[in-house]
Amino acid sequence: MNSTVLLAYIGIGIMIALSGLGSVYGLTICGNAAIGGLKKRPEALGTFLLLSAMPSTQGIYGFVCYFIIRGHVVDDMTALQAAAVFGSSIAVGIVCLLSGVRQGQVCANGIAATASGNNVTAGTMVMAAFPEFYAILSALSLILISGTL
Amino acid sequence: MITKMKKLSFLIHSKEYEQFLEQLRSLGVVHVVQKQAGAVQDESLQEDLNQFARYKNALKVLEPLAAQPAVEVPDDHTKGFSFDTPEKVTERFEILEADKVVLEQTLQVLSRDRAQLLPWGDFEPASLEHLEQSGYKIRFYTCPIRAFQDEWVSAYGVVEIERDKQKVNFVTVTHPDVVPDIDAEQVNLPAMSLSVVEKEITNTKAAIDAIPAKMTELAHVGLDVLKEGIRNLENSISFSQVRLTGEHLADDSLLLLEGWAPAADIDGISKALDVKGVFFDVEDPVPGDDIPIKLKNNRFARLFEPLTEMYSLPNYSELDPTAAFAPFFMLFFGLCMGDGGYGLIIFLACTLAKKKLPALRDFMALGQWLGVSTIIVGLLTGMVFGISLDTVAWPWLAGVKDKFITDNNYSVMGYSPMMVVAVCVGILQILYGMGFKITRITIQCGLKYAMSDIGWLILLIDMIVLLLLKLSGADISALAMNTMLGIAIVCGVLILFFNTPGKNPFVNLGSGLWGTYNMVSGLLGDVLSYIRLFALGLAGGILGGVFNSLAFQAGGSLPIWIGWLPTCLILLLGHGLNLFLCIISALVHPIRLTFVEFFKNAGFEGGGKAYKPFKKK
Repeated sequence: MNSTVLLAYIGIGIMIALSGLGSVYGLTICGNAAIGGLKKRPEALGTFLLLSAMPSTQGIYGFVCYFIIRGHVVDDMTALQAAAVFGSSIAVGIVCLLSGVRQGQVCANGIAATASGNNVTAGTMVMAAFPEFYAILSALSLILISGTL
Repeated sequence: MITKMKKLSFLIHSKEYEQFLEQLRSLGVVHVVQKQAGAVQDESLQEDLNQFARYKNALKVLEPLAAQPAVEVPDDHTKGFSFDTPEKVTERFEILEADKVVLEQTLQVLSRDRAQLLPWGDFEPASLEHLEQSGYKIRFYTCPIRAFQDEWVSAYGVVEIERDKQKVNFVTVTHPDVVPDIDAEQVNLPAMSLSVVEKEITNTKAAIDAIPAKMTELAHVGLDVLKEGIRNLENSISFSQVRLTGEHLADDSLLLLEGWAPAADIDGISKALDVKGVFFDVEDPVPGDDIPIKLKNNRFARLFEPLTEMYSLPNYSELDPTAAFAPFFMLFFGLCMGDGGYGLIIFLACTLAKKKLPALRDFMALGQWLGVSTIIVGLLTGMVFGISLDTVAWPWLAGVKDKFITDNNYSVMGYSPMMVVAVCVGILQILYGMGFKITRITIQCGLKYAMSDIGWLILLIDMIVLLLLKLSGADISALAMNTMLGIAIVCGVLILFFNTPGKNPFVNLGSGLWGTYNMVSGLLGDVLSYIRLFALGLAGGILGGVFNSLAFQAGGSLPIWIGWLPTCLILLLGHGLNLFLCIISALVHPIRLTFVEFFKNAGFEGGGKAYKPFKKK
């Protein structure tokens, strides 16, 4: 194995780890809020579950990006190709990490408001989709970059 | 779809008001327009509401207990009580609750007393009085070891009771008139001996422990009566609320009541109320009316109505999106699960539960459909209980192994075929959503207001067709190319200059450009979001395969007579866990795709208020 493959795999590893961590943090923030909410309104479990699961997307994007990029990590890849894989993977990882945490905070607020008796499920889902959009853009960038390799 | 509603206005003589309301309630189809909660004040209603809150509180605790087996209660606490009314059941519940609070407080006090008495040992407080009468006054003291002075022993007859690392507990034995002058804290002990306190603690704990059993017994005896009482109270409250809703006219001799009823029921209402000679008027709804929503779908789409209600009911001027997203939701669930074996389990479990749990019949029917969808997807992708059927060497599968939609069999421009399927399904749903929006705008406002959306829909279809032709390598004639280009230009004109009818072209151009930016950025995100369908299906399948490998590795390393046990255990636990996780994901993510991506592109607004007819429960 040469150093270009090594560089590419380091990038992929960081991407999967950071995007997964984004979801982990986001889901934890939501989960904590949902437990608090359940004490007030146990009947709203379905809504809480739905909102809590929103930040799981970032981890999925990291996973999908790995599937997209893995075909390009080959023994004879050039330094430029490895840099492209590394750079795009890092971008996806960082954006997904922050997007997951921030989306979790938006959803946690929605959960708290729902627990207080307000019907804000639809609004929260729309608002939570905004920080996720940039995770999607980073994943799209990786897909587009992979198309040039 | 949304049931057509008619507005009803009733004018009733005050003397016949109650009788009319009874009649209206027995019809059970009129949604009465009620005042805001709290707008009506009535003593009997307030009393009913308070009583209702008490009954509900008792029901909340007793209902789960009724499902538990009856436990023998040491003393027959129901003796002398009869539970033939909900009030008696609730009163008994409240007494038990209050008893529990008192007993817990008593236990706290007793525990504190015990802790105080423990260093001094077990003695009768009465014996101290006897000693005092005999001329010996006993006083209890505690002080830090360094503060204790040996001369106290001779001066005040100090007897040391207990000494630890920090403090010393002692008593002084003096004449009753002598008050020891010592620098130590005097301890006032409870007026009970340690053995009595410990006995009291045991009795109190036993009494606290008996309360759940008493509650369970109460639940077995009185739950049905309580439920019946709650039902009657609900009827009484709704009746009072409707009664107080009536607007008094003509010096209170007439009352005006407004309501809504499905258009199909108007004839029945007319016949029933004409007999009683009540005056009423039937009108069509007008813009601005707050019309209650009753969804009316076929047997299949009706199962998905709870999802629409979870987001929001459509408003009356909209289209009901339930039937539009139902088949997509079913497909999405199947794609997210992705394992035909799991689909079979879901189908069988729901079929069984449908018979056993009639109350959940609709949910189980929905589960059956979702199971069928998963089975079909699993068969198409060749994934059954974590086994990739395209990789196994089973001779009976040899003929179809290369037909499964897997990475081994197909590749679309280097991408996984299921990923492309997920994105294509997403594009299809988005286009369908746009078509739904066009239909809604055309019905609500007219075709000219939908021109921009029509432009977008046709432009996207035009571009997709062009892309597919290019990718397939087909030879596109100049005429076809020009036609498609022409269509795109016409669509561009519609998008940029017909998006805000009635405004000048510059305003149209500005909002058209802004709309284009939003559409392009939104579409990118929306389409990519559907990749989750592929990722979830893949993750579930891989995890199932990992459990299979683990199970057979663990079992294979042991002799066959015992090896089957860990294999079966790992398979059962692993697939059980994977199935549970997959079901959660396969419900949550399709709901999200429906609520965010589909509803956004379909322009669904929601905000409808549910149709709740005035009827007896």
